[in-house]
Amino acid sequence: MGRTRACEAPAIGIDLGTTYSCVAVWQNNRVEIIVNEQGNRTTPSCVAFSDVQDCLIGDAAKNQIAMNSSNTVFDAKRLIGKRFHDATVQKDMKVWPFKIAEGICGKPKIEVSDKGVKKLFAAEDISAMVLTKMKEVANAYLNADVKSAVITVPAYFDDLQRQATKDAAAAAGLDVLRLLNEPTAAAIAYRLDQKATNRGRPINVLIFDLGGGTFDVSLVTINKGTFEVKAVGGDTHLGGEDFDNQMVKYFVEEFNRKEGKDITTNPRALGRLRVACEKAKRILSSTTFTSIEVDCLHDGVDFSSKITRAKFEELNMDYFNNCMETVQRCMKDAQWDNNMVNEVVLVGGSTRIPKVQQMLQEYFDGKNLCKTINPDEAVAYGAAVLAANMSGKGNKMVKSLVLLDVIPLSLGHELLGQFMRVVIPKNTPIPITKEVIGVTIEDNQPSFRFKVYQGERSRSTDNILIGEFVLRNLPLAPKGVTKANIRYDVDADGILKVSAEEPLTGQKNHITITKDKRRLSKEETDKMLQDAKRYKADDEDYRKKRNAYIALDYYVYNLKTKLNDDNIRQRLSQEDIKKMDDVVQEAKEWLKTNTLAEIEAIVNKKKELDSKRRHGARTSSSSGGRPKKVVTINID
Amino acid sequence: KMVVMEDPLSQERRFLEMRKNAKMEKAVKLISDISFEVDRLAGQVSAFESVISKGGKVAEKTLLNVIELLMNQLLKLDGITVDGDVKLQRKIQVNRIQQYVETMDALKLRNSTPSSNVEANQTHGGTQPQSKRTAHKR
Repeated sequence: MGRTRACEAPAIGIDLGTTYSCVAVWQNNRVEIIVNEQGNRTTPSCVAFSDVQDCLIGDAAKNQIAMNSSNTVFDAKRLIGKRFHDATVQKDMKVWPFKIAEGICGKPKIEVSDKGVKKLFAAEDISAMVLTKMKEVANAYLNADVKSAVITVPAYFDDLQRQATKDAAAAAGLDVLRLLNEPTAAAIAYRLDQKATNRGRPINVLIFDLGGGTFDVSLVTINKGTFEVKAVGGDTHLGGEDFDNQMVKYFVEEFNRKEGKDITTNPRALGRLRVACEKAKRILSSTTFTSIEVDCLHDGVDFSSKITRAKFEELNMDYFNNCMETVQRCMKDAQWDNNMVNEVVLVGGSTRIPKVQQMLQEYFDGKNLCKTINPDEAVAYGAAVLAANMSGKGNKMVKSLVLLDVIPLSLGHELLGQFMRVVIPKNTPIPITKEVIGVTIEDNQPSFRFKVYQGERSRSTDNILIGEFVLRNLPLAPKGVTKANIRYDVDADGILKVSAEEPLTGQKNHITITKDKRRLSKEETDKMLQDAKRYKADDEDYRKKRNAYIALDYYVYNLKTKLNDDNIRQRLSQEDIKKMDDVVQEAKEWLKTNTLAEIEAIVNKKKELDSKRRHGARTSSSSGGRPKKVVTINID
Repeated sequence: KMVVMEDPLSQERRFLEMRKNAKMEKAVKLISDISFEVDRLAGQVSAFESVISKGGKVAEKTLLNVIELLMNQLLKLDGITVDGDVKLQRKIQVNRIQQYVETMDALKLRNSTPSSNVEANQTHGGTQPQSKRTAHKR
């Protein structure tokens, strides 16, 4: 090929999965899934290092995993963009055969020995190798040098994880046209955008992605070619492997019952049984009955048994029910009714299980499921469509695509009484700009301190502080007079910028919340959302408490203002003024030290103050006539 | 006068028979491939045996490698579904592999426990003698 290969190479779509990756391209007016040199349509996301040869990627790495498990790295996607001390990392570390060490800035590093030399790799490096492999697969097929790609990531991936994925792509020599959410890619694959446009109304889609190791549910609204992720949910450790394990457990018991021998102490026998079980599981998706046979499984005893589809379903019913509960929760999050869902899309190999399909179908009143595209390839398929769209290729349908993303957690800042003021609620599509107004909380307040949080709880300190900045040199004015315009900008890449401006003097300050500082792991996000639900009552209490606190604060402030008012001072006796000043001073102190007081305490304090004031008013009215009455009325 | 008639029923039977035979042949071929590979590995096993019985040492990793290679073959055997005669062949191979794996386990144990006459054979051990003897067939 003497012609310039570079400019001819089309953009490709890559589904960079946890266990498997898949690459596709738009060609001859349709999407072509590209097979690798082994003839497989998906390639394991697996990299192996060895003492003698260069590192192996894909099938070759997977095939030798048993011989060289401590130097074979997989699941890099679970590690990418995470910190070493993240709970998920600590948990996953225990089951991985390769070693994880803590690198600089708490970054986890994978420790392997490459040609006898100990080396540390970041998850990005491993993903980059997988991406390089996928690129080579595409290069070989297209006989061209692929330069750009659309790469998919889970909808819940945070900035850090997305950035790390981008870095991996850059290292692999790929220009990322766009990081695409996996559910969105699946929806694109089924051309649901076209359906929406043709109907003229937005359509709601549920994407049910049950793969080898992870389970994700996403609710997406498609409107005139735009995609909005409304809610996401799932389980990072639920998938086909768990179903295999259940079956293994069942057969271990059966073997024990039949032969009186326990094979749990024999890891090799367990391994053989697991492989046999996985095979049986696949068969059970197309037949209702299969047999399983392992020669000399343990102590020279052959194992032979049968399993029906019904039994398989019974074994995994808890998992299936979990899946459906997640679907329900997601629907609640997005405030959708069952009949609002127009399409249900199946993604991931485990959605071939008939029971899963049946349960989903029942949940949606017999709705037809989208399962015409191979569930292992649907995501790469969608990515390829977008890649064609973004490089100006493809047919009319492909050219009409537009995309929208959302933020995963609410963003806001702290108000008086550690209260979280939500400025941008969660699941708001980005890019977005919102402006709110803040006021001073004290007389002659010289500066504003903005603490920017993300999270769903009412009390700001229960959320996560992602940045803070100060707006200084405010004009001196009574409480509530000086204002600041606070602007929240989230750009298309999900980067947040908070700026504040005092309109009179033009004082300005802002903060850009960089990727390193902010954003949570999936687990943290989940925990946050779960906490928000669990502590809903607590949050309600806190809101009440805070309102009481604010009311008291306001009350004390008013009292103080009135006491400072000359008109009123003149009408009160020295003694009364002194007494009331003391009361106010004491109340202010109390407010300062009791920001976290119980609601009863705050209410009682207010009552106490009230009675003191009345008392003061009464004494003053006895000495100085009626004027104090005016004061009391005004305060309330 | 002779008329050539197609007999769809017997044709069907023939095709089925052919497919069945092809499947069987494929399985037999796979099993013989595996047994060939196991022969090769068996050579390594006996090489290790002779080294270690003389008190030599072999790098633990090379031992583990061979065990895993054997296990890989075992899993391949498990993946073959057959019946009748071929099933017996499969079982023979499974038994063989398991015996070798057991031998290797025992060797590994002896290899890891320090023996008194290590010094005498130190030049011999650890230097991958098995690679020279892979050609050796049973």
